[in-house]
Amino acid sequence: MQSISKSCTKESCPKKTKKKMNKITKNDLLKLLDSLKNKNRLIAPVMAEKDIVFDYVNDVKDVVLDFTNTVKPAKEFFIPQREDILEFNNGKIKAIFSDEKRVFFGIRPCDLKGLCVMDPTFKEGIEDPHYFEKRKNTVIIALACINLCDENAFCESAKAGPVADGCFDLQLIPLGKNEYFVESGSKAGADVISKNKPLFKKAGKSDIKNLEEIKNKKINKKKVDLDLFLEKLKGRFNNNAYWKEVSLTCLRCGACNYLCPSCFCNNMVDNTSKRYRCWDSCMFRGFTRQAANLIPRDELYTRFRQRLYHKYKWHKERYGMHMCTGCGRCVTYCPGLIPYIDIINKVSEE
Amino acid sequence: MKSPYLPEIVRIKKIKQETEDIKTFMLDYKPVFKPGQFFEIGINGIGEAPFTAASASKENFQTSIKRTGKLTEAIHKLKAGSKLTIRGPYGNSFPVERIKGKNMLFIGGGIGLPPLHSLIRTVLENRDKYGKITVFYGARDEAQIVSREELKNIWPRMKNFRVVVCVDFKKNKGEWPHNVGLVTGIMEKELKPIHKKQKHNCFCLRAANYDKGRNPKAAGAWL
Repeated sequence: MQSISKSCTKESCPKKTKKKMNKITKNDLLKLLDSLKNKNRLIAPVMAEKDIVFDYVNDVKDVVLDFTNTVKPAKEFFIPQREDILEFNNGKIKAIFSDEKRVFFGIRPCDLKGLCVMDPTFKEGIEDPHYFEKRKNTVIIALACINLCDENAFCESAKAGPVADGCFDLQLIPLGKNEYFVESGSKAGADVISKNKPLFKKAGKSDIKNLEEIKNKKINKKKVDLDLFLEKLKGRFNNNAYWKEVSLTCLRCGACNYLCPSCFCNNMVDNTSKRYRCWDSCMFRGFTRQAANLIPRDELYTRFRQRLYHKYKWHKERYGMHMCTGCGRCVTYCPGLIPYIDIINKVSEE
Repeated sequence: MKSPYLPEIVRIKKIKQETEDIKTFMLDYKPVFKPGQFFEIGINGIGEAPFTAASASKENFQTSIKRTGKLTEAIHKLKAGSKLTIRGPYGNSFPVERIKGKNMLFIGGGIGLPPLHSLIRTVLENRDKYGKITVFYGARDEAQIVSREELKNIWPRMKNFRVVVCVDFKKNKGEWPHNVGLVTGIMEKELKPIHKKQKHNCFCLRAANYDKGRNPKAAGAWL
Protein backbone atom coordinates (compact mmCIF):
# COMPACT_ATOMS: atom_id res chain seq x y z
CA MET A 1 0.00 0.00 0.00
CA GLN A 2 1.42 3.33 -0.96
CA SER A 3 1.37 6.25 1.40
CA ILE A 4 -1.98 7.90 0.73
CA SER A 5 -1.48 10.82 3.06
CA LYS A 6 1.32 11.92 0.79
CA SER A 7 -0.53 12.64 -2.39
CA CYS A 8 1.44 12.86 -5.52
CA THR A 9 2.04 16.57 -5.63
CA LYS A 10 5.49 17.50 -6.78
CA GLU A 11 6.33 18.87 -3.36
CA SER A 12 5.33 15.89 -1.28
CA CYS A 13 6.23 13.09 -3.66
CA PRO A 14 8.95 10.90 -2.20
CA LYS A 15 11.48 11.96 -4.80
CA LYS A 16 14.17 9.74 -6.14
CA THR A 17 15.86 8.94 -2.89
CA LYS A 18 18.65 6.41 -3.04
CA LYS A 19 17.01 3.07 -3.51
CA LYS A 20 18.44 -0.31 -4.24
CA MET A 21 17.65 -1.07 -7.84
CA ASN A 22 16.34 -4.44 -8.88
CA LYS A 23 15.53 -6.05 -12.18
CA ILE A 24 13.06 -8.74 -13.12
CA THR A 25 12.58 -10.70 -16.35
CA LYS A 26 9.20 -11.11 -18.01
CA ASN A 27 9.05 -14.80 -17.10
CA ASP A 28 9.88 -14.09 -13.48
CA LEU A 29 7.33 -11.29 -13.44
CA LEU A 30 4.61 -13.75 -14.40
CA LYS A 31 5.86 -16.09 -11.68
CA LEU A 32 5.72 -13.19 -9.23
CA LEU A 33 2.15 -12.35 -10.23
CA ASP A 34 1.23 -16.01 -9.91
CA SER A 35 2.62 -16.18 -6.40
CA LEU A 36 0.95 -12.89 -5.38
CA LYS A 37 -2.30 -14.29 -6.72
CA ASN A 38 -2.34 -16.94 -3.97
CA LYS A 39 -3.13 -14.46 -1.22
CA ASN A 40 -4.59 -11.60 -3.25
CA ARG A 41 -7.00 -11.10 -6.10
CA LEU A 42 -5.04 -10.06 -9.15
CA ILE A 43 -6.15 -7.24 -11.44
CA ALA A 44 -4.19 -7.01 -14.69
CA PRO A 45 -4.53 -6.01 -18.34
CA VAL A 46 -6.20 -8.70 -20.44
CA MET A 47 -7.54 -8.97 -23.98
CA ALA A 48 -11.25 -8.35 -24.48
CA GLU A 49 -11.93 -9.01 -28.16
CA LYS A 50 -9.50 -6.54 -29.71
CA ASP A 51 -9.23 -4.17 -26.79
CA ILE A 52 -7.03 -4.28 -23.73
CA VAL A 53 -8.92 -3.83 -20.47
CA PHE A 54 -8.23 -4.29 -16.77
CA ASP A 55 -9.96 -7.27 -15.21
CA TYR A 56 -9.66 -9.80 -12.42
CA VAL A 57 -7.36 -12.57 -13.58
CA ASN A 58 -7.48 -16.26 -12.62
CA ASP A 59 -4.63 -17.48 -14.79
CA VAL A 60 -1.51 -15.36 -15.28
CA LYS A 61 -1.32 -16.70 -18.84
CA ASP A 62 -4.09 -14.24 -19.66
CA VAL A 63 -2.05 -11.23 -18.51
CA VAL A 64 -0.99 -9.01 -21.38
CA LEU A 65 2.46 -7.50 -20.83
CA ASP A 66 2.91 -5.62 -24.09
CA PHE A 67 0.24 -3.02 -24.55
CA THR A 68 0.11 0.76 -24.81
CA ASN A 69 -2.81 1.68 -22.59
CA THR A 70 -6.25 0.36 -21.72
CA VAL A 71 -9.37 1.94 -23.20
CA LYS A 72 -10.90 2.50 -19.78
CA PRO A 73 -8.85 3.96 -16.94
CA ALA A 74 -8.04 2.11 -13.72
CA LYS A 75 -10.39 4.16 -11.54
CA GLU A 76 -13.31 1.73 -11.83
CA PHE A 77 -11.53 -0.65 -9.43
CA PHE A 78 -11.53 2.07 -6.76
CA ILE A 79 -14.76 3.90 -7.54
CA PRO A 80 -16.77 1.30 -9.44
CA GLN A 81 -19.34 2.47 -11.93
CA ARG A 82 -21.89 1.12 -9.48
CA GLU A 83 -20.95 0.40 -5.90
CA ASP A 84 -23.29 -0.79 -3.14
CA ILE A 85 -22.84 1.39 -0.04
CA LEU A 86 -25.75 0.48 2.26
CA GLU A 87 -28.02 -2.51 2.59
CA PHE A 88 -31.59 -2.32 3.94
CA ASN A 89 -33.08 -5.28 5.73
CA ASN A 90 -36.36 -5.17 7.73
CA GLY A 91 -35.89 -1.55 8.76
CA LYS A 92 -32.23 -2.10 9.62
CA ILE A 93 -29.34 -0.54 7.71
CA LYS A 94 -25.86 -1.99 7.22
CA ALA A 95 -22.84 -0.49 5.47
CA ILE A 96 -21.17 -2.66 2.84
CA PHE A 97 -17.38 -2.82 2.77
CA SER A 98 -14.99 -4.97 0.84
CA ASP A 99 -11.83 -5.97 2.67
CA GLU A 100 -10.53 -7.92 -0.29
CA LYS A 101 -6.73 -7.83 -0.66
CA ARG A 102 -5.76 -7.05 -4.22
CA VAL A 103 -2.70 -6.68 -6.41
CA PHE A 104 -3.16 -4.30 -9.31
CA PHE A 105 -0.60 -4.92 -12.04
CA GLY A 106 -0.05 -2.84 -15.14
CA ILE A 107 -1.54 0.49 -14.16
CA ARG A 108 0.01 3.22 -16.31
CA PRO A 109 1.45 6.42 -14.78
CA CYS A 110 -1.43 8.59 -16.08
CA ASP A 111 -4.08 6.37 -14.45
CA LEU A 112 -1.99 6.13 -11.29
CA LYS A 113 -1.75 9.88 -11.01
CA GLY A 114 -5.51 10.02 -11.63
CA LEU A 115 -6.02 8.12 -8.35
CA CYS A 116 -3.58 10.36 -6.47
CA VAL A 117 -5.40 13.40 -7.79
CA MET A 118 -8.77 12.20 -6.47
CA ASP A 119 -7.42 11.00 -3.09
CA PRO A 120 -7.66 14.42 -1.36
CA THR A 121 -11.28 14.80 -2.49
CA PHE A 122 -12.26 11.61 -0.70
CA LYS A 123 -10.06 12.52 2.28
CA GLU A 124 -10.96 16.15 2.93
CA GLY A 125 -13.52 16.76 5.66
CA ILE A 126 -15.10 13.39 6.30
CA GLU A 127 -12.89 10.63 4.94
CA ASP A 128 -14.64 8.13 2.68
CA PRO A 129 -13.76 4.61 3.90
CA HIS A 130 -15.52 2.95 0.96
CA TYR A 131 -12.85 4.43 -1.31
CA PHE A 132 -9.86 4.26 1.02
CA GLU A 133 -10.43 0.62 2.01
CA LYS A 134 -9.89 -0.26 -1.62
CA ARG A 135 -6.87 2.03 -1.89
CA LYS A 136 -5.31 0.59 1.26
CA ASN A 137 -6.01 -3.03 0.37
CA THR A 138 -4.55 -2.78 -3.11
CA VAL A 139 -0.84 -3.18 -3.87
CA ILE A 140 -0.14 -1.22 -7.04
CA ILE A 141 2.49 -2.44 -9.46
CA ALA A 142 2.72 0.35 -12.02
CA LEU A 143 4.08 -0.10 -15.50
CA ALA A 144 5.99 2.84 -16.97
CA CYS A 145 5.68 3.70 -20.65
CA ILE A 146 8.53 3.79 -23.14
CA ASN A 147 6.37 4.02 -26.25
CA LEU A 148 3.74 6.55 -27.20
CA CYS A 149 0.29 5.16 -26.44
CA ASP A 150 -1.86 7.74 -28.17
CA GLU A 151 -1.01 10.69 -30.33
CA ASN A 152 -3.16 12.86 -28.05
CA ALA A 153 -1.27 11.95 -24.90
CA PHE A 154 0.39 14.84 -23.08
CA CYS A 155 1.40 13.12 -19.83
CA GLU A 156 4.78 14.87 -19.88
CA SER A 157 3.12 18.29 -19.77
CA ALA A 158 0.72 17.07 -17.06
CA LYS A 159 3.69 15.80 -15.03
CA ALA A 160 2.18 12.33 -14.78
CA GLY A 161 4.31 10.20 -17.08
CA PRO A 162 5.66 8.44 -19.03
CA VAL A 163 7.45 7.27 -15.87
CA ALA A 164 5.65 7.84 -12.56
CA ASP A 165 7.56 9.65 -9.84
CA GLY A 166 5.55 8.35 -6.91
CA CYS A 167 2.21 6.97 -5.69
CA PHE A 168 3.06 3.38 -6.61
CA ASP A 169 4.12 0.45 -4.43
CA LEU A 170 6.29 -0.94 -7.20
CA GLN A 171 7.02 0.50 -10.60
CA LEU A 172 8.33 -1.53 -13.50
CA ILE A 173 10.27 0.33 -16.16
CA PRO A 174 10.91 -1.64 -19.36
CA LEU A 175 14.58 -2.29 -20.07
CA GLY A 176 15.03 -3.89 -23.45
CA LYS A 177 12.54 -6.50 -24.58
CA ASN A 178 12.65 -8.96 -21.76
CA GLU A 179 13.44 -7.12 -18.56
CA TYR A 180 12.14 -4.44 -16.24
CA PHE A 181 13.74 -2.19 -13.69
CA VAL A 182 11.90 -2.48 -10.43
CA GLU A 183 11.43 0.66 -8.34
CA SER A 184 9.96 0.38 -4.89
CA GLY A 185 7.83 3.29 -3.67
CA SER A 186 6.45 2.04 -0.36
CA LYS A 187 6.91 -0.50 2.41
CA ALA A 188 4.35 -2.78 0.80
CA GLY A 189 6.37 -2.63 -2.41
CA ALA A 190 9.62 -3.40 -0.58
CA ASP A 191 7.90 -6.35 1.10
CA VAL A 192 6.92 -7.82 -2.26
CA ILE A 193 10.58 -7.72 -3.28
CA SER A 194 11.95 -9.13 -0.03
CA LYS A 195 9.41 -11.97 0.08
CA ASN A 196 10.16 -13.01 -3.51
CA LYS A 197 13.88 -12.34 -3.55
CA PRO A 198 14.92 -15.19 -5.90
CA LEU A 199 12.86 -13.67 -8.71
CA PHE A 200 14.72 -10.33 -8.63
CA LYS A 201 18.22 -9.54 -9.83
CA LYS A 202 20.36 -6.61 -8.80
CA ALA A 203 20.68 -3.88 -11.40
CA GLY A 204 24.22 -3.02 -12.44
CA LYS A 205 25.82 0.38 -12.98
CA SER A 206 25.20 0.36 -16.71
CA ASP A 207 21.54 -0.49 -16.08
CA ILE A 208 21.16 2.51 -13.80
CA LYS A 209 22.69 4.75 -16.46
CA ASN A 210 20.17 3.34 -18.94
CA LEU A 211 17.39 4.03 -16.48
CA GLU A 212 18.23 7.72 -16.33
CA GLU A 213 18.16 7.85 -20.13
CA ILE A 214 14.77 6.16 -20.25
CA LYS A 215 13.38 8.50 -17.61
CA ASN A 216 14.56 11.56 -19.52
CA LYS A 217 13.30 10.37 -22.89
CA LYS A 218 10.42 12.43 -24.28
CA ILE A 219 7.80 10.45 -26.16
CA ASN A 220 4.73 12.74 -26.35
CA LYS A 221 3.69 14.39 -29.60
CA LYS A 222 1.45 16.96 -27.90
CA LYS A 223 2.48 19.65 -25.47
CA VAL A 224 0.48 21.98 -23.27
CA ASP A 225 1.30 24.43 -20.50
CA LEU A 226 -1.27 23.79 -17.80
CA ASP A 227 0.01 26.46 -15.40
CA LEU A 228 -0.21 29.11 -18.11
CA PHE A 229 -3.66 27.79 -19.06
CA LEU A 230 -4.79 28.24 -15.45
CA GLU A 231 -3.64 31.87 -15.49
CA LYS A 232 -5.45 32.54 -18.78
CA LEU A 233 -8.65 30.87 -17.54
CA LYS A 234 -8.92 33.50 -14.81
CA GLY A 235 -10.24 36.24 -17.08
CA ARG A 236 -12.27 34.04 -19.38
CA PHE A 237 -15.11 32.71 -17.28
CA ASN A 238 -17.69 35.23 -18.49
CA ASN A 239 -16.69 35.05 -22.14
CA ASN A 240 -19.91 33.17 -22.93
CA ALA A 241 -19.55 33.55 -26.69
CA TYR A 242 -16.24 31.70 -26.56
CA TRP A 243 -17.57 28.84 -24.43
CA LYS A 244 -20.60 28.53 -26.71
CA GLU A 245 -18.38 28.30 -29.74
CA VAL A 246 -16.01 25.61 -28.41
CA SER A 247 -18.82 23.48 -27.01
CA LEU A 248 -20.82 23.58 -30.24
CA THR A 249 -20.12 19.95 -31.19
CA CYS A 250 -20.52 18.51 -27.68
CA LEU A 251 -23.05 15.66 -27.73
CA ARG A 252 -23.58 15.68 -23.94
CA CYS A 253 -22.60 12.00 -23.87
CA GLY A 254 -20.31 12.11 -20.84
CA ALA A 255 -17.59 9.95 -22.45
CA CYS A 256 -14.96 12.49 -21.41
CA ASN A 257 -15.96 12.03 -17.76
CA TYR A 258 -16.32 8.28 -17.87
CA LEU A 259 -12.99 7.71 -19.61
CA CYS A 260 -11.13 10.24 -17.47
CA PRO A 261 -8.73 8.70 -14.93
CA SER A 262 -9.41 11.51 -12.45
CA CYS A 263 -13.15 12.33 -12.77
CA PHE A 264 -14.87 11.16 -9.59
CA CYS A 265 -18.31 12.82 -9.48
CA ASN A 266 -20.97 10.41 -8.39
CA ASN A 267 -24.61 10.15 -7.38
CA MET A 268 -26.35 8.14 -4.64
CA VAL A 269 -29.35 6.13 -5.74
CA ASP A 270 -31.70 3.78 -3.87
CA ASN A 271 -33.38 0.63 -5.01
CA THR A 272 -35.62 -1.37 -2.69
CA SER A 273 -32.80 -3.19 -0.90
CA LYS A 274 -29.67 -1.12 -1.44
CA ARG A 275 -28.29 2.39 -1.58
CA TYR A 276 -25.59 2.54 -4.23
CA ARG A 277 -23.15 5.07 -5.59
CA CYS A 278 -22.83 5.41 -9.33
CA TRP A 279 -20.85 7.58 -11.71
CA ASP A 280 -22.36 10.86 -12.75
CA SER A 281 -21.27 13.34 -15.40
CA CYS A 282 -21.08 17.12 -15.19
CA MET A 283 -21.94 17.17 -18.90
CA PHE A 284 -25.44 15.82 -18.20
CA ARG A 285 -28.26 18.35 -17.93
CA GLY A 286 -29.65 16.77 -14.78
CA PHE A 287 -26.31 16.93 -12.95
CA THR A 288 -27.22 20.18 -11.17
CA ARG A 289 -30.98 19.73 -11.06
CA GLN A 290 -32.44 20.96 -7.77
CA ALA A 291 -35.66 20.23 -5.95
CA ALA A 292 -37.60 23.14 -7.49
CA ASN A 293 -36.52 21.81 -10.93
CA LEU A 294 -34.14 24.72 -11.20
CA ILE A 295 -31.04 23.75 -13.21
CA PRO A 296 -28.17 26.20 -12.58
CA ARG A 297 -26.10 24.80 -15.45
CA ASP A 298 -28.96 24.31 -17.85
CA GLU A 299 -27.09 25.59 -20.90
CA LEU A 300 -24.55 23.24 -22.43
CA TYR A 301 -21.73 25.79 -22.58
CA THR A 302 -21.91 26.33 -18.81
CA ARG A 303 -21.41 22.60 -18.24
CA PHE A 304 -18.56 22.45 -20.74
CA ARG A 305 -16.91 25.41 -19.01
CA GLN A 306 -17.48 23.81 -15.60
CA ARG A 307 -15.57 20.71 -16.61
CA LEU A 308 -12.54 22.66 -17.82
CA TYR A 309 -12.50 25.01 -14.82
CA HIS A 310 -12.81 22.15 -12.35
CA LYS A 311 -10.03 20.19 -14.01
CA TYR A 312 -7.56 22.96 -14.69
CA LYS A 313 -8.28 25.67 -12.15
CA TRP A 314 -10.37 24.89 -9.08
CA HIS A 315 -8.85 21.50 -8.23
CA LYS A 316 -5.35 22.88 -8.68
CA GLU A 317 -6.09 25.88 -6.48
CA ARG A 318 -7.62 23.70 -3.80
CA TYR A 319 -5.32 20.68 -3.76
CA GLY A 320 -2.21 21.79 -5.64
CA MET A 321 -2.71 19.32 -8.50
CA HIS A 322 -4.34 19.65 -11.90
CA MET A 323 -7.21 17.22 -12.27
CA CYS A 324 -5.80 16.10 -15.60
CA THR A 325 -3.07 13.57 -16.13
CA GLY A 326 -2.64 13.99 -19.88
CA CYS A 327 -3.83 10.51 -20.93
CA GLY A 328 -5.51 12.02 -23.99
CA ARG A 329 -8.59 9.74 -23.81
CA CYS A 330 -11.10 12.61 -23.78
CA VAL A 331 -9.65 13.92 -27.05
CA THR A 332 -9.31 10.52 -28.73
CA TYR A 333 -12.75 9.21 -27.83
CA CYS A 334 -14.85 12.39 -28.04
CA PRO A 335 -17.59 11.68 -30.62
CA GLY A 336 -17.94 15.43 -31.16
CA LEU A 337 -14.22 15.64 -32.00
CA ILE A 338 -13.70 18.45 -29.51
CA PRO A 339 -10.01 19.36 -29.67
CA TYR A 340 -9.31 19.91 -25.96
CA ILE A 341 -5.54 20.20 -26.54
CA ASP A 342 -6.03 22.91 -29.16
CA ILE A 343 -8.40 24.73 -26.82
CA ILE A 344 -5.82 24.66 -24.02
CA ASN A 345 -3.06 25.85 -26.34
CA LYS A 346 -5.13 28.54 -27.98
CA VAL A 347 -6.31 30.01 -24.71
CA SER A 348 -2.75 29.84 -23.33
CA GLU A 349 -1.33 31.72 -26.28
CA GLU A 350 -3.69 34.66 -25.96
CA MET B 1 -15.22 0.53 10.37
CA LYS B 2 -17.96 3.11 10.24
CA SER B 3 -19.42 4.40 7.03
CA PRO B 4 -20.15 8.13 7.03
CA TYR B 5 -23.15 7.29 4.84
CA LEU B 6 -24.75 5.17 7.57
CA PRO B 7 -27.68 7.22 8.97
CA GLU B 8 -29.45 7.02 12.31
CA ILE B 9 -33.04 5.81 12.36
CA VAL B 10 -35.26 8.26 14.25
CA ARG B 11 -38.96 8.59 15.08
CA ILE B 12 -41.14 11.47 13.96
CA LYS B 13 -42.55 13.14 17.07
CA LYS B 14 -44.88 15.73 15.59
CA ILE B 15 -45.93 16.95 12.16
CA LYS B 16 -47.27 20.43 11.50
CA GLN B 17 -48.97 21.35 8.24
CA GLU B 18 -47.53 24.77 7.34
CA THR B 19 -49.13 25.27 3.93
CA GLU B 20 -50.78 23.02 1.39
CA ASP B 21 -47.41 21.55 0.35
CA ILE B 22 -45.09 22.35 3.27
CA LYS B 23 -44.93 20.36 6.49
CA THR B 24 -42.68 20.84 9.50
CA PHE B 25 -41.39 17.62 11.03
CA MET B 26 -40.23 17.42 14.63
CA LEU B 27 -38.03 14.41 15.29
CA ASP B 28 -37.22 12.46 18.42
CA TYR B 29 -33.60 13.46 17.95
CA LYS B 30 -31.50 16.15 19.62
CA PRO B 31 -28.37 16.74 17.58
CA VAL B 32 -25.59 19.22 18.36
CA PHE B 33 -24.89 21.54 15.43
CA LYS B 34 -24.34 25.14 14.39
CA PRO B 35 -27.12 27.31 12.91
CA GLY B 36 -27.16 27.04 9.14
CA GLN B 37 -25.86 23.48 8.96
CA PHE B 38 -27.83 20.81 7.14
CA PHE B 39 -28.68 17.14 7.59
CA GLU B 40 -29.31 14.35 5.09
CA ILE B 41 -32.81 13.04 5.70
CA GLY B 42 -34.10 10.00 3.91
CA ILE B 43 -36.27 6.93 3.63
CA ASN B 44 -34.65 3.55 2.98
CA GLY B 45 -35.26 2.44 -0.56
CA ILE B 46 -36.28 5.88 -1.77
CA GLY B 47 -33.27 8.09 -1.12
CA GLU B 48 -31.99 10.96 0.93
CA ALA B 49 -31.61 14.70 0.44
CA PRO B 50 -30.20 17.65 2.36
CA PHE B 51 -32.45 19.71 4.64
CA THR B 52 -31.42 22.62 6.83
CA ALA B 53 -32.33 22.47 10.50
CA ALA B 54 -35.09 24.87 11.57
CA SER B 55 -34.48 24.25 15.27
CA ALA B 56 -31.62 25.24 17.56
CA SER B 57 -28.88 22.87 18.62
CA LYS B 58 -29.63 20.34 21.42
CA GLU B 59 -33.41 20.69 21.16
CA ASN B 60 -35.79 18.40 19.29
CA PHE B 61 -34.74 18.57 15.66
CA GLN B 62 -37.17 20.32 13.33
CA THR B 63 -37.13 20.88 9.60
CA SER B 64 -39.66 22.18 7.09
CA ILE B 65 -40.07 20.14 3.93
CA LYS B 66 -41.85 21.17 0.77
CA ARG B 67 -43.48 18.43 -1.31
CA THR B 68 -41.64 18.74 -4.58
CA GLY B 69 -40.24 15.36 -5.70
CA LYS B 70 -40.07 11.61 -5.11
CA LEU B 71 -38.48 11.70 -1.65
CA THR B 72 -40.38 14.68 -0.27
CA GLU B 73 -43.65 13.13 -1.42
CA ALA B 74 -42.82 9.95 0.45
CA ILE B 75 -41.84 11.95 3.56
CA HIS B 76 -45.11 13.88 3.40
CA LYS B 77 -47.05 10.60 3.52
CA LEU B 78 -45.45 9.67 6.86
CA LYS B 79 -47.40 10.05 10.11
CA ALA B 80 -46.21 10.93 13.60
CA GLY B 81 -44.55 7.81 15.01
CA SER B 82 -43.12 6.69 11.66
CA LYS B 83 -39.38 6.46 11.18
CA LEU B 84 -36.94 8.46 9.08
CA THR B 85 -33.20 8.21 8.58
CA ILE B 86 -30.95 11.16 9.33
CA ARG B 87 -27.23 11.90 9.27
CA GLY B 88 -25.30 15.07 9.86
CA PRO B 89 -24.62 17.86 10.55
CA TYR B 90 -22.79 18.97 7.43
CA GLY B 91 -21.77 22.21 5.78
CA ASN B 92 -20.95 25.71 6.90
CA SER B 93 -22.76 27.75 9.48
CA PHE B 94 -23.60 31.36 10.31
CA PRO B 95 -20.90 33.21 12.28
CA VAL B 96 -22.77 33.20 15.60
CA GLU B 97 -19.87 34.65 17.59
CA ARG B 98 -18.86 37.31 15.13
CA ILE B 99 -22.35 38.81 14.90
CA LYS B 100 -22.75 39.33 18.65
CA GLY B 101 -23.71 42.92 19.47
CA LYS B 102 -24.83 43.63 15.91
CA ASN B 103 -28.26 44.45 14.52
CA MET B 104 -29.55 41.73 12.28
CA LEU B 105 -31.57 41.65 9.10
CA PHE B 106 -33.07 38.34 7.99
CA ILE B 107 -34.51 38.01 4.52
CA GLY B 108 -36.45 34.88 3.69
CA GLY B 109 -38.63 33.90 0.80
CA GLY B 110 -41.11 31.00 0.61
CA ILE B 111 -39.55 27.85 2.02
CA GLY B 112 -36.41 29.95 2.61
CA LEU B 113 -37.52 31.12 6.05
CA PRO B 114 -37.25 27.82 7.99
CA PRO B 115 -33.46 27.57 7.35
CA LEU B 116 -33.11 30.93 9.11
CA HIS B 117 -35.13 29.72 12.10
CA SER B 118 -32.14 27.89 13.38
CA LEU B 119 -30.16 31.14 13.68
CA ILE B 120 -33.11 33.21 14.90
CA ARG B 121 -33.80 30.66 17.65
CA THR B 122 -30.14 30.59 18.64
CA VAL B 123 -30.10 34.39 18.81
CA LEU B 124 -33.30 34.43 20.89
CA GLU B 125 -31.72 32.01 23.38
CA ASN B 126 -29.15 34.73 24.12
CA ARG B 127 -31.31 37.72 23.27
CA ASP B 128 -29.34 40.34 25.25
CA LYS B 129 -26.14 39.57 23.34
CA TYR B 130 -27.55 40.71 19.99
CA GLY B 131 -28.95 44.00 18.63
CA LYS B 132 -32.21 44.71 16.83
CA ILE B 133 -33.73 41.99 14.68
CA THR B 134 -35.59 42.67 11.44
CA VAL B 135 -37.20 39.86 9.45
CA PHE B 136 -38.34 40.37 5.87
CA TYR B 137 -40.43 37.52 4.55
CA GLY B 138 -42.08 37.08 1.20
CA ALA B 139 -44.41 34.35 -0.08
CA ARG B 140 -46.38 33.79 -3.29
CA ASP B 141 -49.74 34.40 -1.63
CA GLU B 142 -51.14 34.23 1.86
CA ALA B 143 -51.77 30.50 1.69
CA GLN B 144 -48.06 29.92 1.09
CA ILE B 145 -46.83 31.64 4.25
CA VAL B 146 -44.89 29.36 6.59
CA SER B 147 -44.22 29.85 10.32
CA ARG B 148 -47.41 31.92 10.67
CA GLU B 149 -47.48 31.69 14.41
CA GLU B 150 -44.02 33.24 14.72
CA LEU B 151 -44.51 35.84 11.99
CA LYS B 152 -47.95 36.97 13.14
CA ASN B 153 -48.09 36.52 16.90
CA ILE B 154 -44.77 35.65 18.52
CA TRP B 155 -42.02 37.72 16.94
CA PRO B 156 -43.83 41.07 16.47
CA ARG B 157 -44.58 41.10 20.21
CA MET B 158 -40.96 40.79 21.14
CA LYS B 159 -38.85 43.79 22.02
CA ASN B 160 -36.58 45.12 19.26
CA PHE B 161 -38.01 42.65 16.77
CA ARG B 162 -39.55 43.94 13.53
CA VAL B 163 -41.37 41.68 11.08
CA VAL B 164 -42.30 42.71 7.53
CA VAL B 165 -44.31 40.14 5.59
CA CYS B 166 -45.27 40.51 1.97
CA VAL B 167 -46.99 38.48 -0.73
CA ASP B 168 -46.49 38.50 -4.50
CA PHE B 169 -50.22 38.40 -5.20
CA LYS B 170 -53.11 39.40 -3.03
CA LYS B 171 -56.46 37.72 -3.52
CA ASN B 172 -58.68 39.47 -0.94
CA LYS B 173 -58.41 42.98 0.35
CA GLY B 174 -57.86 43.54 4.02
CA GLU B 175 -56.32 40.21 4.95
CA TRP B 176 -52.91 39.84 6.58
CA PRO B 177 -50.22 40.68 5.41
CA HIS B 178 -50.47 44.19 4.04
CA ASN B 179 -47.50 44.42 1.66
CA VAL B 180 -47.79 43.29 -1.94
CA GLY B 181 -44.72 42.71 -4.10
CA LEU B 182 -41.49 40.79 -4.13
CA VAL B 183 -39.59 40.82 -0.87
CA THR B 184 -36.67 42.56 -2.54
CA GLY B 185 -38.92 45.37 -3.78
CA ILE B 186 -40.62 45.81 -0.40
CA MET B 187 -37.21 46.08 1.21
CA GLU B 188 -36.31 48.96 -1.03
CA LYS B 189 -39.33 50.85 0.26
CA GLU B 190 -39.16 49.81 3.89
CA LEU B 191 -35.48 49.99 4.68
CA LYS B 192 -34.37 53.30 6.06
CA PRO B 193 -30.92 54.55 5.12
CA ILE B 194 -29.65 53.94 8.63
CA HIS B 195 -30.06 50.22 8.13
CA LYS B 196 -27.65 50.37 5.27
CA LYS B 197 -24.80 50.68 7.73
CA GLN B 198 -25.59 47.27 9.13
CA LYS B 199 -22.86 44.79 8.57
CA HIS B 200 -24.31 41.36 9.21
CA ASN B 201 -27.29 40.13 7.32
CA CYS B 202 -28.48 36.64 6.63
CA PHE B 203 -30.75 35.70 3.83
CA CYS B 204 -32.18 32.69 2.19
CA LEU B 205 -34.38 33.26 -0.82
CA ARG B 206 -36.43 30.87 -2.87
CA ALA B 207 -35.69 30.40 -6.53
CA ALA B 208 -38.36 32.76 -7.88
CA ASN B 209 -36.65 35.83 -6.49
CA TYR B 210 -33.56 35.04 -8.48
CA ASP B 211 -35.49 33.97 -11.51
CA LYS B 212 -37.07 37.37 -11.82
CA GLY B 213 -33.68 38.96 -11.99
CA ARG B 214 -34.15 40.69 -8.68
CA ASN B 215 -30.59 40.73 -7.51
CA PRO B 216 -30.90 41.24 -3.75
CA LYS B 217 -27.85 43.47 -3.80
CA ALA B 218 -29.38 45.82 -6.34
CA ALA B 219 -32.61 45.87 -4.39
CA GLY B 220 -30.98 47.12 -1.24
CA ALA B 221 -29.64 44.08 0.56
CA TRP B 222 -25.93 44.08 1.02
CA LEU B 223 -23.68 41.53 2.60
